[in-house]
Amino acid sequence: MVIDLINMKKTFTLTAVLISIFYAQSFSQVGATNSGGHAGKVQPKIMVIPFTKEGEDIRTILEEDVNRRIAITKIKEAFDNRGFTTVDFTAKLKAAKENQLLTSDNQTDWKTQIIQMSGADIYVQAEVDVLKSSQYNSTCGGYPTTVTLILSGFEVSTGNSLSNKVGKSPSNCTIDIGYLAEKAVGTIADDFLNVMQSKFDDIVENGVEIVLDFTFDQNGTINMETEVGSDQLPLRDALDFWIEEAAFKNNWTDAGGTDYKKTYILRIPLKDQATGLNYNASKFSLSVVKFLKSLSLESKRLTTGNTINITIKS
Amino acid sequence: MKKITHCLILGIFAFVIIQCKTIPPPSAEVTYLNEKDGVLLVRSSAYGKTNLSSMENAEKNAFEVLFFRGIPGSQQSLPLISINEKDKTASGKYFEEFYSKGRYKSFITSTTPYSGYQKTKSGIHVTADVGINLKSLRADLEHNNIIRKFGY
Repeated sequence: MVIDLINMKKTFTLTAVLISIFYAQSFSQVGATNSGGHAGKVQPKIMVIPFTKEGEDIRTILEEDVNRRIAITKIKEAFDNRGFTTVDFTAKLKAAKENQLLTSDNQTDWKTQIIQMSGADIYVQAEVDVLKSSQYNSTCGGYPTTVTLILSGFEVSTGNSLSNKVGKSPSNCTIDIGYLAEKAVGTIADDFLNVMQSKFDDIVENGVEIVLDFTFDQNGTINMETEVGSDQLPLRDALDFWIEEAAFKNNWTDAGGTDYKKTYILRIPLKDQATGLNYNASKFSLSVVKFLKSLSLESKRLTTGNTINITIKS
Repeated sequence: MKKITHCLILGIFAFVIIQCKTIPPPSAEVTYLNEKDGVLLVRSSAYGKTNLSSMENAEKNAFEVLFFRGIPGSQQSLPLISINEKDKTASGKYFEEFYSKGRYKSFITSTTPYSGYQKTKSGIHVTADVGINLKSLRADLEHNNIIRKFGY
């Protein structure tokens, strides 16, 4: 009887210890950020930027043109009305200038640098065009003016178009171009966001598109034709087979390459299908590295947004 | 006697058939008028057995087309919920409260008859201009997880 009681006590203690270990591992290691396993949604970062023509300086364009500032602000307001926070272009531009990060002489590169520096996943480009009639209108007592707004939304990594709309203000003899720009935005902002949302619905359902780029270290001795793995397949074929399995819902394309470079475009889910936690290109790149390791290949990875660059070292 | 009974039964049957008019199913007779300050104004037509029910059907039709077809010419040219109205069954309780319990009326800013009530073979037909508080409607759908908020 006494031995039974001692055994029961031991069993109880062991069970209690096991349960404690289980709960300890279930929660994050940082108590302050413990959410009890609930994973929120990571939203894309969207930045609204002005379109610049040849000869215009993106660094000063908003300072010089209040009408474009009004258009950009109204577009951002449309996002705000949907409860979505955008990345502020002006703040990022200021940070880039202060840190002297705009290194190129090429204006097109400045735009690219600001976008990359901002960490934005999506940028929305706003082009404001003012058309003033040369014919005097006696009814309105001036020259009728119309503002046309071209709104385009793109994914940074892939260049995929997410939404495109053209809006026009009513023709008016006012000299207040900002007012007309505001009206032009009002004619398309919601529709623009609705189309973008339909693309987001597709991303939630079928995964987000990423670019996976393989190159080789210049000191390496292998290339895409090198036979690897237990099957001794050329590396390019081994990669094809792996990507086919790894791509979410088998959604992938071979974007071409050479013996020393290969690019894939594939989709990965927003959530880890095994754990339900948020998933992204950086986590996927780890799976790529692990696969290459299984082929006895060392590699280096660089992830920028939804673009993964893998340099195979050996 | 038998003949009279048969005639009576036939007569009642014919009367019932004539009275039970089939109300046509909802159509996409909803056209865009204008949009201002978050309120979408549409012109909607519908049938009903009474003046009141035909007006209510016109209002409900406006919502159905907005939810599952979109309003061409407006900024909500895409369906607010989805193209497939069968998705309603997944959110049966919400739509039960929305339509049957009259909750849809809280999103209507105005209803103005455009045409008079016209008696037709299919019932009483009416066309009305219906103002819908689109901003609040969208917020309500998001809050009840019928649609996702903007983003992922």
